[in-house]
Amino acid sequence: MTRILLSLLLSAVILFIPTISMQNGIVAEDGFKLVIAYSNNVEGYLEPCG
Amino acid sequence: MDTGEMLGGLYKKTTYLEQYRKKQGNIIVVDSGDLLNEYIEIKESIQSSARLKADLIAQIYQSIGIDAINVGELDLALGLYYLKLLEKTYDIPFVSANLVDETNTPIFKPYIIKEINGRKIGIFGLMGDSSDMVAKLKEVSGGKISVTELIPSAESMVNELKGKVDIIIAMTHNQMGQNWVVARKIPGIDLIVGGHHKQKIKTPYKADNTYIVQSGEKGQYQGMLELTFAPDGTRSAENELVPLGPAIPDDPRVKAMIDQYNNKVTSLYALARQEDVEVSLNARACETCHSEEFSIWQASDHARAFETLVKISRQFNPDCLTCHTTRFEQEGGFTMELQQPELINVQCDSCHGNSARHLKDGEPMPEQKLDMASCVKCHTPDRCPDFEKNYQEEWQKIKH
Repeated sequence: MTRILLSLLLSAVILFIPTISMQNGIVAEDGFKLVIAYSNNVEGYLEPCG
Repeated sequence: MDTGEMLGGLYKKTTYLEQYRKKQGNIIVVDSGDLLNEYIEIKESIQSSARLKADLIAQIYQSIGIDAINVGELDLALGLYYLKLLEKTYDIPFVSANLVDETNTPIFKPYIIKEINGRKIGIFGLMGDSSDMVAKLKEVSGGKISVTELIPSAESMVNELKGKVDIIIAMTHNQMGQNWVVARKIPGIDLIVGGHHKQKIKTPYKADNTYIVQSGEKGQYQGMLELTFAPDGTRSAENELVPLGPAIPDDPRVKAMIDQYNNKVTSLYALARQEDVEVSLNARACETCHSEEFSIWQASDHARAFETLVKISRQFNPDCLTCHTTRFEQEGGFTMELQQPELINVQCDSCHGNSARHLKDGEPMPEQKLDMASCVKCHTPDRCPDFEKNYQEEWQKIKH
C-alpha cells in the first residue's frame, strides 16, 4: 500500500514539474509575453537633414 | 533592412509607439544611452542650441512614456549638472549602476522596477569600463565622474534584483564583445539592450540564456523585441527593427515642437550673421595655383552646400553646419560666433585640411588620406543612404 502511494505521489510530482518554471526566483505558472521597444545612440538626432 | 530612404525623426518614433500601444497594449520603452548629443566636446559657441535640443529630447521622451534611459558618455557632454536638471525637470528615469562620483557614491538610480501585466521587470544601466571610456568620462567631467568595474557591478545588480522581479534587463554602454562577457559571466540577465557600439542586430544574439539586441544609430530604426516565456521555462524572442520612414506619419505635436526648436535656434544665431558682406570664398586662394581643381569643385554640389540649408531655413543650425561649411568649429574654420561668409560651403580645406600655413609660407598641406572613409564623415548612411553603394559614381562628380 505504502509503495503504491509513494509511486502515485512521485508520478504527480513528475507531472507537475514541467508546468511550473522559475524566472529569477519567482514561480511563473503560466507563460507570458513582454514587448520591449528599444533604441540606442540617437545622438541628438531630431529628424533627418532636409 | 536598408531601405534607401532617409530614416528617423522623433515624430515618427512617437507615432509608431502610440499606434503600437493602442493595438497591442503595454510595452516597456528603453534607451541605452548617447541619447542627447553627438559629440563629447561641445564648443561654448554652440552650447545654447545643444541645451535647447537636449531639453526638447527630454520632453519628447517623457511624452512617449520612456521607462528607463542608460546614461552614455555623450549624455554628459553638457555637464552632469545639466543632465541632473533634465532628470528633475522632466522626471526622466536615467539609470546607471556604475557611474559614481568622487566619493564613490552612485550618481543615478542604479535600476528601476516596472510592473506590467502583473509581472515585475527590473531594468538597470551599465557603463563600459574600458580605458577609453574611463578616459572619456574623466575628460567630460573634469575627473569628477568615474566608473566602477563592469562585471562586479552587473553581478551586484542581478543579486539585488533576483527574487524581486520576474525579468531582468540590462542596458549596457560599451563594445559588443563586453555584452557577451557580461551575459556569460553573470547568469540571470534575460536581455541586454546594447548601446555605444552602433551595430544593428536583426536576429537577437543569444549568449546562454541572455538575448542581446541593438538598434543601430540616430533613431533610424525602432527596435521591437517580443520575449515569450513559455510555461515550461523555455523562452523565445522575435525581433524587428522597424524603419522609421515615410510609411509612418509624423506626430503633429512633436513635429511642431521640433519646428519651434528650429526657429529658436535661428533666432539664437541669426543676429551674428552678416548677410550683406560680400562673399569671397576661401577656395579662391587655392584657385591661383590649382585652377583646374577649383573649376571642378566650383561645378560640384560641395560649392552649393550652404545654399541647400538656406532653402530649408537651417543655415543657423549647428547640427547641419558641420557638413555644410568649411571646418566647422575647427582651427581656421567656420565658427558659430563669427559665421564667416568666406567659409560657407564645403571648400578645399574641408577635405584637404587647414591651408593657412600652406597659403602663408608655402608649407606642404597637412597630409590627408582621402578615401571613402573621409567622405562618409558627412555622407553618413542616415543622410545619404546609398552613398557607399554608389561611391565610385559619386567620386567621379568631384574627381580632381
